[in-house]
Amino acid sequence: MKSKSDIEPVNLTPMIDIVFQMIIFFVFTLDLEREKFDKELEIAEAKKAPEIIEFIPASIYPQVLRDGTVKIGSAVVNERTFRGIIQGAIKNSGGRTDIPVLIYAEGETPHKHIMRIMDICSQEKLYDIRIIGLLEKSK
Amino acid sequence: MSSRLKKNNRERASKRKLEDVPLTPMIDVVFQMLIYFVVTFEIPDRLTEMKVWRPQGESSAPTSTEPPDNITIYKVRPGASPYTLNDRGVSIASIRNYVFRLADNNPEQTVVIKATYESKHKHLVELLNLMSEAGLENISLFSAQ
Repeated sequence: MKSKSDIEPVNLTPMIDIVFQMIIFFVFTLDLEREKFDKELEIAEAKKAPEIIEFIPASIYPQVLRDGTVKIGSAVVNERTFRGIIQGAIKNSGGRTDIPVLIYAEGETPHKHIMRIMDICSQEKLYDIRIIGLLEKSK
Repeated sequence: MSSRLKKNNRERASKRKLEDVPLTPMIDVVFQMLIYFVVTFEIPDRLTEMKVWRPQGESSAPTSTEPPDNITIYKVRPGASPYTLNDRGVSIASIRNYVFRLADNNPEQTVVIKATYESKHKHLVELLNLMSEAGLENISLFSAQ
């Protein structure tokens, strides 16, 4: 019968190599900017518009639901808070007003709710307003 | 001879020390990280963006913004036929033909889209998508009742 000391230790190095490579892959493919969007929202398709390859850091991403609710990330914000977020972003960037605002809205949202967001941006002198469309839904 | 023996002994001792480093906690942590990443990994949706100018912003917008050569109004209205071109109800196909003709003549052409308050956002996106397809980039967006 083999004693404990006779059992050869399993060589873990290849497994650790693979595990580390997998971790490196996941860390590099993690796009925190994309995490700011609620995937449950049904946004309208725009297949011919330019695709967003990389999200510009420090951009503002208001999400507008069909009932007019505005969300930043997962937090519901009112107009006053949204204005405060914009003012904070401008202040943090040293007074720059070229911060992009990407509006991520449901297709069924009435335009008046989008207009409210755009008006606040204009009043705070942010004019780089972009509408987000869906090129391809992930499976 | 004895010095070589001592050297060999030292090498063996240092090897043993290296082998003794406990890897188990590190492997535990690494596996936890791996499990976290695997569970939270999602293939992201592919998104597009369409830039618009707001009229009230244009007065103080960057000076590079050229004034529109011509103004064409597409009103996005609620209801069955959501589009009008110069106050005439038209289909999206007609707008498409018109926009492509405009773009052929002058891709720098400014197009003004007028969206009513109750119109659906998807109709606006459809129009903006059409403008992108035609290569028109100077889009002004008005909101009207």
